[in-house]
Amino acid sequence: MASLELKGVVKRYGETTVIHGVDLAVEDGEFVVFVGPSGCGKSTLLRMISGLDQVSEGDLLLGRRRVNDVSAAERGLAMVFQSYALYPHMTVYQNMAFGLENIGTPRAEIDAKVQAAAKLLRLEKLLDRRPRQLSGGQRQRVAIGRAIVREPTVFLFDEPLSNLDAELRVQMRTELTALHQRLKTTMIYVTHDQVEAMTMADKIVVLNGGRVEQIGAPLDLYNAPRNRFVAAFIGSPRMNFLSARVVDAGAGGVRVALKGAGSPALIPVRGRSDLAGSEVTLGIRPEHVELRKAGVGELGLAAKIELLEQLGATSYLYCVLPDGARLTVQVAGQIGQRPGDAVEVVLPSSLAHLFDRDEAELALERIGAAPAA
Amino acid sequence: MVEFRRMLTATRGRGRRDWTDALAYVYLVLGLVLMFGPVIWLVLSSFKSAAALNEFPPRLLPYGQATVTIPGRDEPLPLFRVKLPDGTTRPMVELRRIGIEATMADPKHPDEELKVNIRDREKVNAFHLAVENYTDIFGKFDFARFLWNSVFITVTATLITLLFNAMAAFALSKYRFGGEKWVFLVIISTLMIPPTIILVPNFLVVSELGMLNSLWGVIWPAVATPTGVFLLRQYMLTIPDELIDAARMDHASEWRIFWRIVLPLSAPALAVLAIFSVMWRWNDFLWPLIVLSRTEKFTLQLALNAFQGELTTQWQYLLAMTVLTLLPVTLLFAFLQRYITTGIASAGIK
Repeated sequence: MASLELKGVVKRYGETTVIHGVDLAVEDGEFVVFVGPSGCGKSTLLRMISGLDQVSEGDLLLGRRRVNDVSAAERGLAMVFQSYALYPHMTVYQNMAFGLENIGTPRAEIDAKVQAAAKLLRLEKLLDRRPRQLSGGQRQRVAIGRAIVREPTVFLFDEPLSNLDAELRVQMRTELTALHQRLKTTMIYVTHDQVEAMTMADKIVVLNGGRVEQIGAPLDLYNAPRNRFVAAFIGSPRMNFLSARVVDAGAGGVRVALKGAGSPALIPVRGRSDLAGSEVTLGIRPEHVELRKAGVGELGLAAKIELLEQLGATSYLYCVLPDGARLTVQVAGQIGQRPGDAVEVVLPSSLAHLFDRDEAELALERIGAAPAA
Repeated sequence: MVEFRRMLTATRGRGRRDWTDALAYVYLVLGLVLMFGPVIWLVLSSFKSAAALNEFPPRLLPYGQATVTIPGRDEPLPLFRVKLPDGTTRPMVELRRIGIEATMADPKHPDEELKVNIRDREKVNAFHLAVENYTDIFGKFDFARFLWNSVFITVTATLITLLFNAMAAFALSKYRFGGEKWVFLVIISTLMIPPTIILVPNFLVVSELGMLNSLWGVIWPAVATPTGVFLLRQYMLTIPDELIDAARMDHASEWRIFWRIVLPLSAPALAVLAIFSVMWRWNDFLWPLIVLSRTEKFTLQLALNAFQGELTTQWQYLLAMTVLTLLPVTLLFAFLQRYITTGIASAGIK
């Protein structure tokens, strides 16, 4: 049973449409992450699910019940806000108890639930403090505690970690994942950080400009992005895109030639015969580019290192190709080259992606299972 | 004490005196005298006896004629400085007086009586606080009733003002609805209408509602204030909307959001409005004068006015009562004035 379902959900503010018909089914107990650049409508979508914003068109179903006209208070969901939105004049205990008081829970039961949540989130010693006396991470935990005491059917998180420093963010990320495994409740999580999306989600929804670009498991999105936007958004550093010309397209794949590369190479994607001779975009992830001399039938390029970032375990090479295109290369370990040095790179054709040059920039479907990198 | 001294000797530069310091102090002292002088004079005068008040030229401090009790007399006798025919002056008490001739005696030798023309003597004055001005008004007038009327109007009207204005401000700051800006503009624009213009219409409404000579007739027309709505709305705009969203997610009704979240967080602004409202209602004169015509419904301000009789005015009681009337607002202001600055300042910073 889907615990939450969106059918052609549209949101308009006056004349402007910000969400263009979203269809989505969230299974019970699933951890779904909405990810996309700022302004893509992910927060609006979350607020519509929460009931804080009205749905302009389409249906919103919560456990088979249409809840379009049910107020936020009646939907029984819980939300954690980006700014935590803790009530500044109440103690941690009162903050967590407020929701239970509102539904008329008996005192003893409130106390038991708040204590249990406090124990789960290691907040027992902070119950008498006020929010301003807490650190960012503690406030975050109180906000989560406030959400879990009411045992909601669905948790909504609106960029909950974006106000934390990097270290704390990583820590809270694992804590949230652990919490999800313990509570086994449906969670919907909004973020602009694709790392958060990749690490936490059962299912990622990539949004752009109010439209769903792709829905899928994290690795599916990484291995088989549906279009160029998803390919660019998922993965860090972002995928390299180069212009390529289709030599021929057959059952075995599409053979493309790259300017500056010696011989054409066969990319194992399903091509159409009309593609022959047309321009396409070749995408290759920085971590897949190899730093060596090209063999026969491989896409080899001469590049010049413009900038070099050595992180110890990995090195990032920001290169310029002879035609002016840029190529980012990620290699494991440390390298001896310096900026300005010329290097030879190979783009493994089995790991490359091809995208149409039309507006949708759809990816050509891969033949067989995506190879593990 | 050290801080007080530091405040009084503060200068512009670090320790160095500048001509602007002198200017600032002159300005401040002048302001202090201008603003605080009349109050001091009022308080000092309220301790003067009726005779001392009528004295010309007036004195600043309350003086009364000195009296001496001499053996053989129950009453204390008034003391004079008498110019004797031999040119010397002696302090003497008056035993009795007929016309322009008074029988006087030296307090040390009360048996040696002397007849003196009243032009040859001068009153001896001594510092004297006429506390009876204060004690008398409690017996002579229905002071307790006037005080109760004033307190009832002030407290009730302030509570209702806070509630009503906060509700209006909540709606105007946290709800989006058609014509919201327009409604706010209309409320604010009523500030431009002088109260005297709507005096008669207000009176007609109160009269039709049968609230003449009722304290509620003073309270109801005063509780909706554009100033209060404006003040609270501006403050409530600084409360993050996410808090209200969070409360909605916490299953709180709109009334509960108002009562449990918005009101407590608006406390500084509410304190400011409470101070204003108490001052307005306590000092209000014209409107109660119109609505209340029966003595038992009078507020303190009306009672003060009633003290000024057509023929005589008992100034000593009027002044004493004026001081008593000033006290509550002064005390309230002294304790709550820090909220005025914090309330207004925090509304700007947040």
